[in-house]
Amino acid sequence: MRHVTRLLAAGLMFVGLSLPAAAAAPQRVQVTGEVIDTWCYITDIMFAEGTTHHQCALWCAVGGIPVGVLGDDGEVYMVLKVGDDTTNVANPAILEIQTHRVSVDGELYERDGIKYLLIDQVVNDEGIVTVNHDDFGIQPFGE
Amino acid sequence: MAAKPRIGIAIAGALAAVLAVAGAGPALGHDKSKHVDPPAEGADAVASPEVAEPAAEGAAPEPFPVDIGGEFALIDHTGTPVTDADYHGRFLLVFFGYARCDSICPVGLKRMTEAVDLLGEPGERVQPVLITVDPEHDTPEVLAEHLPRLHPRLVGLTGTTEAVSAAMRSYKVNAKLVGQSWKGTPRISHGSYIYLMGPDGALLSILPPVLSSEAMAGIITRYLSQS
Repeated sequence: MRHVTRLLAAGLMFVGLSLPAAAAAPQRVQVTGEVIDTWCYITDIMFAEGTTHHQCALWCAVGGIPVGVLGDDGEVYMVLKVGDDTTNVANPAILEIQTHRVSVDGELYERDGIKYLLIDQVVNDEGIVTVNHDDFGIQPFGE
Repeated sequence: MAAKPRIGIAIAGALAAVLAVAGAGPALGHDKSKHVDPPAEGADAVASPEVAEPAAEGAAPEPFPVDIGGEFALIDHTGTPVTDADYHGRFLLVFFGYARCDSICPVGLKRMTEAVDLLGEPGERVQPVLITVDPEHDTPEVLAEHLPRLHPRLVGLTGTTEAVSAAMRSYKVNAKLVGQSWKGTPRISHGSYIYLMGPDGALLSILPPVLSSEAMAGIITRYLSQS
């Protein structure tokens, strides 16, 4: 079921590709969900949620792979910045919340069917709540 | 900036593992971006959606209202000083990376340049650009030797550390030396978004490197048709 949900979420991310590129003005939003490594999640090359994938997600974030938030609404939000930082690369604020379930306030831009999030602040951090390494192992490294 | 070899090796290992599993590494001989599945069949299809239909012609592309992009004054891989103004009138695809990168750069650049090829003749209006984040190593000579291996039309931009840093600030791109490989090659963490800039130099779209080249081409086509 989780896998189906994940595929659906990934599909929703790009369902708007055939729509016009509009939505210039940002929306103030609060998004709740898990901070994810978008490469592994979107490409579906491995199970990319929770403790199963936390180690890989950290290294990928440091390596410059864009970080996202997988919202409870099933949408993937591409993170462009967090807080006062001007970038999201090797950003300590990002690494500290990687794989965490968070609620964030910020500005949402939609462009070409992709949702971009400029996070002003993390208003709630529940830590890592998806404990699934017993089910899927540690990916892609193994134990 | 102190090097952290173990971190660098770990990053390289992680990214290599991820990209190898993705089949996206050019050295692996398998290009997943060419694989187009029906959209309903899974995430592979998501990573390679069909090229979108262009929007109606006539409407000018609306800039992406995020403060990214702007002026730069650099040197191209032929040794010619260039500024952002020299590219006005063309669409730009801008990727920040470095020649010695063996993780996200080959993948991002491959997808970006494949997208240009997929555009066909209209793609001649699109200039793919690599701005180095490693200017001390990536001299014009180094880029001139490296870039043709990636794409014949790929332009490399470098310059003084200050000039490159200014360009990175314009695009809100950070880069940090995080370690080195066992060979001593620097590992530089850097942003990997691809920026589509319009003929007036304004930001039009941000392309995550997780997109397939087909998906990127679909997005670019829309803007080409509107301009």
